[in-house]
Amino acid sequence: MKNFITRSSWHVWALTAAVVLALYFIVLFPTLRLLGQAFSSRGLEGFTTSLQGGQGDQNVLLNTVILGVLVGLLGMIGGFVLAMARTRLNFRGKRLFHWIAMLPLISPPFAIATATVTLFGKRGIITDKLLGLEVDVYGLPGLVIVLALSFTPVSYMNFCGMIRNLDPTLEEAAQSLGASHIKTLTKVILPMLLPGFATAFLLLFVEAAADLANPLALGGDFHVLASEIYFAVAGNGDVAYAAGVALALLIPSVSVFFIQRYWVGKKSVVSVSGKPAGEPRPLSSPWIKAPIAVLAGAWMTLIVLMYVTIAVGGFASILGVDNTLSLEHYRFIFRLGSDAITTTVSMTLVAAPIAVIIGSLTAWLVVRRLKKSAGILDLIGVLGLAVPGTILGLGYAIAYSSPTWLFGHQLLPAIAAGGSVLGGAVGIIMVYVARGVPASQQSSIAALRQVSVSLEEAAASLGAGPMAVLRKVTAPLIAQSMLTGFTYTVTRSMTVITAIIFIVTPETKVMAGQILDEVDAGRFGNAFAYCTVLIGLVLAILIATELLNRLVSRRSHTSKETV
Amino acid sequence: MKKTAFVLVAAVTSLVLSSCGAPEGQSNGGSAGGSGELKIACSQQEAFCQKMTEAFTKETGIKANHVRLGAGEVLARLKTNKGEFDVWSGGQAENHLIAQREGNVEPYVSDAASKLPAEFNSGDGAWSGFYTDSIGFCSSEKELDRIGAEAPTSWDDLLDPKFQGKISMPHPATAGVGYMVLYTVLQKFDGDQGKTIDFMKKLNNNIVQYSKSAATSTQMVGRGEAAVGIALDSDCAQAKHEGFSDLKNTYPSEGTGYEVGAVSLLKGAKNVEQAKKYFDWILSQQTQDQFGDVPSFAAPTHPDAKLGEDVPDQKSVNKVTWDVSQAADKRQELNSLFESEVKSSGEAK
Repeated sequence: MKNFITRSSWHVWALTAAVVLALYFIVLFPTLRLLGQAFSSRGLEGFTTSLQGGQGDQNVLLNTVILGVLVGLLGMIGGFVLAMARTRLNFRGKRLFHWIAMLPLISPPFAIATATVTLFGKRGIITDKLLGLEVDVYGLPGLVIVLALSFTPVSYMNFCGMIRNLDPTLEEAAQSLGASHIKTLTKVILPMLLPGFATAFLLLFVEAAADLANPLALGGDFHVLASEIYFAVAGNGDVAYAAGVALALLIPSVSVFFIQRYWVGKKSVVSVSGKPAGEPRPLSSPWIKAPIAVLAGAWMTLIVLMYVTIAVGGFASILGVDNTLSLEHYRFIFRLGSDAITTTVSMTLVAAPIAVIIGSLTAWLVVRRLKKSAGILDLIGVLGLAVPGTILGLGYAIAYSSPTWLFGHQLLPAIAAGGSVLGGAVGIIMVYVARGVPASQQSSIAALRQVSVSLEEAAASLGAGPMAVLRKVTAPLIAQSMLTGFTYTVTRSMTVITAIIFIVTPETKVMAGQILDEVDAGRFGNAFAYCTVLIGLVLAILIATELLNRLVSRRSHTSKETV
Repeated sequence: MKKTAFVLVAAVTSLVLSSCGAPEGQSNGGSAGGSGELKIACSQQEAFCQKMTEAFTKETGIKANHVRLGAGEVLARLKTNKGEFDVWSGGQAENHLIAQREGNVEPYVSDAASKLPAEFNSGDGAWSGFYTDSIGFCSSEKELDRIGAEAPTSWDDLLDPKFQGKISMPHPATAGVGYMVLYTVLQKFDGDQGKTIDFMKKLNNNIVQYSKSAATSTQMVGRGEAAVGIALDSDCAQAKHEGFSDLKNTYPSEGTGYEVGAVSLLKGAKNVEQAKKYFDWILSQQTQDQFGDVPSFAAPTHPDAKLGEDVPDQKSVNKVTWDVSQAADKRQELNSLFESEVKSSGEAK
């Protein structure tokens, strides 16, 4: 049967080679070059120093782990509560609820940090002016809250999907056998969601442990590995040492990522029967409803407060200090940042389709074409997400800030950082692609596994060549997942800072980088204005994509869980 | 198929191994030849960088763009990305000297430099100064009232336990001003490194955050996140101008450090002629007359240039001896000591 579609043509070979090469240059090569530096003597010094906890009295490695664990736990609970509220409580405005819950995902990393300082800092509008408290947000507690708020959408989405797929008949069975509501929750629902909890925790652990932007802005005297990497490069130009520190961060991050992907991810007991047998029912016990409603309400209020602060902050002279209306911040960013805005949007729009094409071709090769080597290709593809952004960016700076040579011939000119072709835009776009490919790849793999191969076989047996089958049959079948990959890449690219902090250049200014400068210089008003514009742009692109999608295909009837 | 994939992986891996270094005789730097667009590394406040870049383009017709980077960051990028910038504008003279010693500065004696007092020129063309200002203590009167403290008037005042978690200063590795603080304290102790580190360790107990950029500490004070910021007097005036109206600058009575904000021509510049023009331009009286309009609160170095409103008068400030060459010598050592001994010492709060 299979021979119809595994029948190869030179097109397929060429495609395979192209995908492998592309993945190699966007992910593998920079990572390998980084490892090369990490295993130099200076790099090993950085690595061993980091393993022993860094140079000072604080144990930087331990700090990083503590931060990761706390954010993982908090974000896991937050995501669960929000998802339960959305799927199992009855209230109006669920769409709005969903969009608000997702907001942190489409906003730049400092949005929440700056709003937190303004609202909850020592002289914060809420803590000081309303409650008269003195709270120090600089340091671990502030970091945990800011990071948890920022990354909770990831765990929320994860839980939403899982809870929707729970089979409600199991709950009904438990209850008709006399189990109380609470018992049903603890003995039936929670155990079934266990892999979801593990996934949420692990994903958030990786994100938090590798985050650079927030520790820079809010870390106080709390040092983590990512900021050590930054200060080694930006302060001392000691790339080899930084690569060593990066290795100490890379090992736990990548391990956790792959534990999640290949172990926890496979333990799922959800949707055994394929389709859930009926709609999830609203919760009925007030003992369960009340805490979920209160917690979710509080979380929502917090997010709304943050984003109101951001929106208002752009129009106030100095929010919390001098609240007079001012357009100075918007004048500033349009005078100074209009370049950054157009460059960021255009680079994103170039990167997203490329990421989708590479991602879905990888998926196609993994699911339909390759056998044993499929696993390897899959792994290389997701490496772009498994490798923390700071480290990927450092790898780019090492690998691509000088020309690439092969056997004495110049293969590539310098493509990242200053002095390179097109002002370093190529490097930044490649990073965007690297971060976007995994999402595209994963959603396309999931889609391809659900679609029976028989359609493609039918086309092949009717005489269509493999390329025609790919173009005319397979691609349309996974169009929805390609769209998911596209929107994901857009949001990621517009907001990413950690992965490009080492390769931004004079000619190619990136909005997220400009925001970091403003936050870092303490000009929060400008940062707020930038954040508002950035969020608006991301929303505009997402809505335009959605409208275009509806226009093109009116047959889409599946409910979308995309951003 | 499986075999093919392996062959491909093997092929590309060997490609990495062979592509690590450039062949002999070929430099690893970027391609030669400039685009005519001047690339400025700017170690000033963003608003200043922006206005100056714009004014330069407007007056000379030469296209230019800039990246704002702290002095420490520029030094780091000069090491890792040679040829990225044509000219370095702003940041302490000692950092430009370090760049020269590391082989990244092309000496250029501008005609305009002769108009400046001797202390604002390196003599050999490595750098020339176009603004100057001093380190001060930028305090919020409201916050001082709350903790019942007076505005500090000596370095030792900063060690008062009242200030615990109330002081902010820039990070010495990334911000030139952060390193200026280290060198000033060293001068205060007549070059005794042990005492300097001891002092910084004690001060560390009172620090709330070492910010990446110099100006941040003034903003943190203005917002009430800190009571005192160790900062440039010009940045304090700038923050006050931006709306943090209750800021007040004081100087340490035993003397403070000051900077000569310098410009230098970078080696490997692709737009040498344009870079020289920028060099001449920023030293001229005409340009420095505009500083006050930006507004920038650092004093111009040209003796006849207009002094803007609220620009701290540098002549009345009591300063420590500032040996640019020694300050350059000591940077690596003091910063490493800071990193290993000071930064994460003391009780975690």
